[in-house]
Amino acid sequence: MKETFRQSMSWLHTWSGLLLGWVLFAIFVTGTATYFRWEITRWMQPEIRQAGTPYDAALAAWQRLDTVAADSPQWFAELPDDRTASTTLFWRHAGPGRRFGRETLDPATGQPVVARDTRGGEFFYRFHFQLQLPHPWGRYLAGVAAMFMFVALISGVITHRKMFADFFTFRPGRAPLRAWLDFHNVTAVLALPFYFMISYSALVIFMTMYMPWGGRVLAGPESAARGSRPAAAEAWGASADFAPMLVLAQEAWDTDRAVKRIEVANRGTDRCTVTLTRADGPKISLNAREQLRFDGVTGALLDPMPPNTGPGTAVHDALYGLHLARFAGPALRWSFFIMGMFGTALVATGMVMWTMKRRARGGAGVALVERLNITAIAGLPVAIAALFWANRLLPVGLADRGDWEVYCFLCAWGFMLMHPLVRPVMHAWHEQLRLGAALFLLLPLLDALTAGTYLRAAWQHRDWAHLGFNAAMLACGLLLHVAAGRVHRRLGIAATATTVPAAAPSRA
Amino acid sequence: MAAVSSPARHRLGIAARTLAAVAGGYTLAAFTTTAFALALRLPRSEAVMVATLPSFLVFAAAVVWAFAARTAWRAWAGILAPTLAAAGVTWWLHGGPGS
Repeated sequence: MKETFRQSMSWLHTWSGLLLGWVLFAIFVTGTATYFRWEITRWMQPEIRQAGTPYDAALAAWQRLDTVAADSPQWFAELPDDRTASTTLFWRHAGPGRRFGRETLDPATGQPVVARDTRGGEFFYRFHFQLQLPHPWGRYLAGVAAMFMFVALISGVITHRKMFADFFTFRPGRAPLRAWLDFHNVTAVLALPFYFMISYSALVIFMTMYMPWGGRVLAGPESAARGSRPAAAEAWGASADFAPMLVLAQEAWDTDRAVKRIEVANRGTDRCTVTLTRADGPKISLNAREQLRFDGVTGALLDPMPPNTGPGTAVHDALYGLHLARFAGPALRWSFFIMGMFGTALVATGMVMWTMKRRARGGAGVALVERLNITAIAGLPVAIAALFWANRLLPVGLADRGDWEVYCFLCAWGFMLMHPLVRPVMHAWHEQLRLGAALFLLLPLLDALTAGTYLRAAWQHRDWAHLGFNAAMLACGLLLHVAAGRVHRRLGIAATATTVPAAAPSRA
Repeated sequence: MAAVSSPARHRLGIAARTLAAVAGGYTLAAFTTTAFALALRLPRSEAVMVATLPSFLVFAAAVVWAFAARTAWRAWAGILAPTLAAAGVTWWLHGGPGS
């Protein structure tokens, strides 16, 4: 089709990057935010303060489950740690089917939280791979986007083979397209291994969904046994006391990295087990979690489960763990966050360059891409800011309040989709960036006005989640403000450029 | 190239390559996974892991080939041949002519 390998790869890079670029941009933004998922939740639910130790919370969680889910066959509890403030309970309802109950507890009281209803950071986490689409279509679209990104990365490296040398070439004052290409290259080189890791591990996380055929042809006795586990028909059995198990865990694990998860399986049967999982440590693989297992009837400590071994499982677990980066401490988490920001910029610069190269030619395709770029790149920050504003402004007692926050996000994004249809392109860029900048820069002020008591308490307790969130919002606002300023300057140039041909039409 | 082929022919070529890349590439990745999983003779979960992990690399390589090959015909042939081979191995290991 093209003369050389590099030219055909350049073509592939252009189109694989563009076609799902908007989806990729949204995935990158929400995924980057997800690195601070629990900190976002804490800002969005400022009523809940951290209190007590994880062991107090574990005991309170057990007592609450005993009250609300006494006849349930399966319990789960996620306990608070230094990043989260509340306890989350799940339980499977008794009877056939897989229906679950869910409750969020205040660890201090052991009672359901009295806080505003919100999805919190969960919204970003879910949007990152489900895109607010019905199951399973969001996951499939996210998978297709990850595959496009992987292909765009390979073809991009082949196209810009010289980019490692070009890395030291940055010509911001030169022709605009040249500067954009330089910036695209810089963001690519700075975090290239991260992009390969993040796109491939995204495919690996849902690989049984995207590539289920290996398991299908090997459908052996293992899967058959899993499907036909006999239902518990025997009488409801007695269960062991929880407190001694917790004492054992307390002796084994310090409060720095204490018990994080409680799981009780096969409740009411003689096969009942209680599993306590320690908070994530510095190991990458999610399979390396430390656990204590107890017999749920006698309370005796059981031998640890034989770990899944084998190089395939090890690679899978390492890729899975790397993508989620739960092992990362604050410094490493910030590095991942910054690499996520670079990835966001990489996608955005690529899509903007596509239109810059073709703007002179014009046409319906360029006009469409230009407008979708505005909605994605400048509009998504506005929608996210709207979500945070809704979190502070919607009445606390509103029914389904968490859903209403998401409606505000979607409505704001919808407006950002319509706005470029009625405004000239550069004006639409400028106005949406300014709006986003204003919303983010004013967010800490709104926080002080509507949640002042919590903000003061956060300051007194040096609660970095709440304070850091406000600082990050100011930084986002400043970034958008600078971007808006640059567009504004180009608007000025464009305005003089259009008046010149009017004076000398022969040069138009 | 533009001088030799008409725009319609050019577009048809891109459509053929895109189909080879997406449908052909996925089918090739799926059959190499099944062939690999059956050939490994490992415990089931480990065999599925080892066979499925590289499948997206196979897919990506097929996509690159589909657009790098000199003609659309070569693009299709280069994907179809290994797909048929992997499908044959899968059929043979999964029971073969006897089952």
